[in-house]
This record gives sequence, structure tokens and C-alpha cells, in this order.
Amino acid sequence: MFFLQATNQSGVSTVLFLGTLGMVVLTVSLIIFIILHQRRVLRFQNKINHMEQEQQKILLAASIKLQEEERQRLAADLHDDAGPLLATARLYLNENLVNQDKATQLQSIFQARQIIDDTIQLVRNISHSLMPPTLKNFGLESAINDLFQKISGSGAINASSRFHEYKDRLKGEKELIIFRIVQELINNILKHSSASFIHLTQNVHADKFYLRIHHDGRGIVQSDFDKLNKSNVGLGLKNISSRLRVVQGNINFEKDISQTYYKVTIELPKDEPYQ
Amino acid sequence: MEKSKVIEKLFANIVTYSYLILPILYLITRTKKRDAKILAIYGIVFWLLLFFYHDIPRSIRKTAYQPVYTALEYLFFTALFYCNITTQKFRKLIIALSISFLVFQILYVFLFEKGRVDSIPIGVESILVFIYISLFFLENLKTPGGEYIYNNHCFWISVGLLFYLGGSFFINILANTFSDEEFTKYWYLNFIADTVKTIFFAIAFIFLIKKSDNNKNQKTVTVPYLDLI
Repeated sequence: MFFLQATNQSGVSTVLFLGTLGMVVLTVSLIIFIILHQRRVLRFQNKINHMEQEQQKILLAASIKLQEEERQRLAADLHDDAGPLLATARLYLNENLVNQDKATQLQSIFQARQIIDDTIQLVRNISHSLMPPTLKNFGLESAINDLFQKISGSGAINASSRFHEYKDRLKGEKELIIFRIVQELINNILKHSSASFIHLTQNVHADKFYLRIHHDGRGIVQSDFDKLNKSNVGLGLKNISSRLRVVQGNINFEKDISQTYYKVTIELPKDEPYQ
Repeated sequence: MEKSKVIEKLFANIVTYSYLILPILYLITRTKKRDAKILAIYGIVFWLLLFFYHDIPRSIRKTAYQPVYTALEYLFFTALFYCNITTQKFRKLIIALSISFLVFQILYVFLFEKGRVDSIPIGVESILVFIYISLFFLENLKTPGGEYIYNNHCFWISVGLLFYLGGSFFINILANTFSDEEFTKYWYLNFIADTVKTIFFAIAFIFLIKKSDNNKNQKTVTVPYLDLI
């Protein structure tokens, strides 16, 4: 204001032109800045979206591959085991039609029954590998305890599990997903770690459900997990990620403070009580 | 007629008739968008105000015409931003500032001596509209929403207003210190700024129609089902 009052008439016109020019330059600069800034932000967002899409593609491919492998395993089990058993049983029964001797007939019927019993057991095993009956009937705690007992019973490794707070069961589909994740982790530990023990603990803290697996073998840390997840190898780990995404859970791979054990922590939001 | 008067009249006519672009665009497109209606009404109102400017007695021009012109201009600009800003905090601020401005404008009409141009209300109006433009940009920078800002019609309205208010700010502030001759000499700056603003408003109108077309053409994208369970 002082500047405006102090100037004479020609000065006023200078102020007018310079002021107007300054305002226009400021306007143009502001607009350019906003456009450039926003372009940069959007470019960054697009990059993140693209990366997420790539990750989704990898996970989808992994889940499809896993499904195909599962189907192939089932087909092999049915074709290689159940098929020959049933064919043999048929042969024994055919024998009855050809051979009229009573004793031989009884013998072949007995043999056929034995084979059919074996087939029933085989189909039951296949069915149990698809959906463990303990999990369906008694829940996650029993299914995991059962799994760990079986592993321990084999004598190859010392396996134990302990559930501290699992009065309110998770929903059935969530339990199945967690069970599959635990199965995958245990398989990996048995296959790659050469551990002498595996210990699983469950707990609940601040509306979160936690499962932690400790083992003393060779393991991976979070950075390895992230790297494997983004690469084309590590199908099982990708499958773990997909499943966790479904239940909105997280997984963390780390080494114990003592640097002796590896620990894997699964964290997911606590569910409504099981109905 | 003096050369400067002829140029002034030419500029004045360009400004006056440029306002008709907005209602013409509205009639051609027949869009039902709220902002398009506001722009079309704005175009008609200000074309009428400028077209009949010379028929209004000089005394009324000073006492009533100018304050009404400034207030209407402010209300139209504010309405456009109010409709395009979604943050509740910002909207409340706009309402509070608008009420304050209108109270100030009424007090100004009755209490202050009028000059050639109502510099003070125009100055206050410019600052307030600058604030609303900043709020709009701030909101857009905070939440980009996956779309470039220049695809938003309100961006073009903001650009037009920045040029208009920036370009005419000093001439409006200094208008009462000029002699008649100087005023005629420099007033064309205001006309240029006004015409540029109307052109940007027309661009905003086109983007507004484009946006509604894009919305119509959008198809629902189905997400693939991952059979993991």
C-alpha cells in the first residue's frame, strides 16, 4: 500500500502492468506445478497398480497350477491304486461263474471281499487327504494336534502343538484355509529344513488370532519370502499368500532373537464365534 | 470517435457477446448436468448485465449495479466450487466465508463512499475465490482418484478464474486512482481477462459433457473368481 501511495501516475501504470504480469505468471506457474505434480502422483499410482496386477497374475497362475497338480494326484491315485484293485476283485468274482467248485468259490469271494475292503480304505484315505474328517467334525485344534501326533509318531521328527485360547472356533472355511497353510508350512519344514523339532502354538491377542511355528532347521526370513513370492518359483509359498489374502491375514517369517530357531507367525483378524 | 474509445467499445462487445457461448453450448448439448445449468444461467445473467450497462443511469451504476454485479459474480463462482468440493470441512468454510462476504457487501453499499469501481469488494471477492480455488486443488491433490486433473471441468473453471482474477486484480484495485483518460486506456486489461475466463468456462463446459459421455460408456468389469477354498 505504501508502495502504491508513494508512486506517481506513471509509476502507477508500471505497478499495474508489473502486478498484472506477476499475477498471470503466478497463475501459469501454479497451473503447471499442479499438473506436473498430479501427473507424477498418478504415474506412481499406476506403477503400484501394475505391480499389484502382476502379483495377482502370479498368484492366480500358482493356484491354477496347484489345482491341476492336485487333480493329477487324485487321478493317479484312482487310476493306479483303486483301478487295479477293483479289476482284481472283478476277476475273482468272474472265477465264481467259471469254477463251480464250492470251496474255490468261497475262496474267491473271500479274496474279492478283502480287495473291496482295501479299496474302501484307499478311497477313504483319498477323501481324508481332500478334507480331513477331524477338521470337519472337531475343528482346527483337533486337526492340527492330530497332524502333529502323526508326524511325531513317525519318529523322524519331534512335533508338538499347543492351543492356548481356542474356545471360540473360527468359521469352517477359515479353519480349512489355516489348516492348509499349516500343512504347507509343515511340508516345507519336513522337506527342506532338516529340523529336529517343530512346535506350534496358538494364541489370541487384541482381536487377532495368532499361530506360531518354531523349528530348529534351515529356514527363510521375510525378505526371502517376499522375493520367492515375486519370482516364478516357490509355488507353495504363493499358495500360502493367496489363501492368506482370502482370510485377510498376514504371515511373518523371522529368526528368533537367540538366532537358534526360525519362527513363522500367522496373524488374522479374530472371527465371530463359530455357529 | 477517439481511437481508444473505439478499441474499448470493440473489447466491450467481445466480452459481452462471449458470455453467450455458455447458454448456446447448453442449448446445443441439452445436458442435464447441474454445473452446466449454473454456467448457462451465469452466461445469460452477465450477458444481460453487460448488454444493458449503458442504459442504466450513472448514479444507479455506482450505488446498485456494481455491488450487485460483484455479489452475483461471487455467488456464481462460489456455487461452482461448492458443488465440486466434497470435503465437508471445506464446504462449511465456504458457507461461512460467503455469509461474511455478503454481510460485508451490504455494509459496503450503505456505509462506504462509491468510486468508479467498487475496488474493495472486488479485492475481497478475488481473495475469497482464490481461497476456494486453492481448496479445490488441495482436495484434488490429496485424493487424485486415478484421473488427470485437467479432465475435471472444475479445473478449467479454476484456470479461467485464476486468469480473470489475476489479470484484473490490479486494474480493479487501482481503478479509482486513475484519471478518466488512463482508466479508458488500461481498462481493456479487464476485458481481456474477462474474455479469457469465458473461453476457459466454455472449455470447462466441453469437459463436463465429455465426462457425462464417458460415464455413460463405462461398462461394469467383472472380477475373476479365485477358487481357492
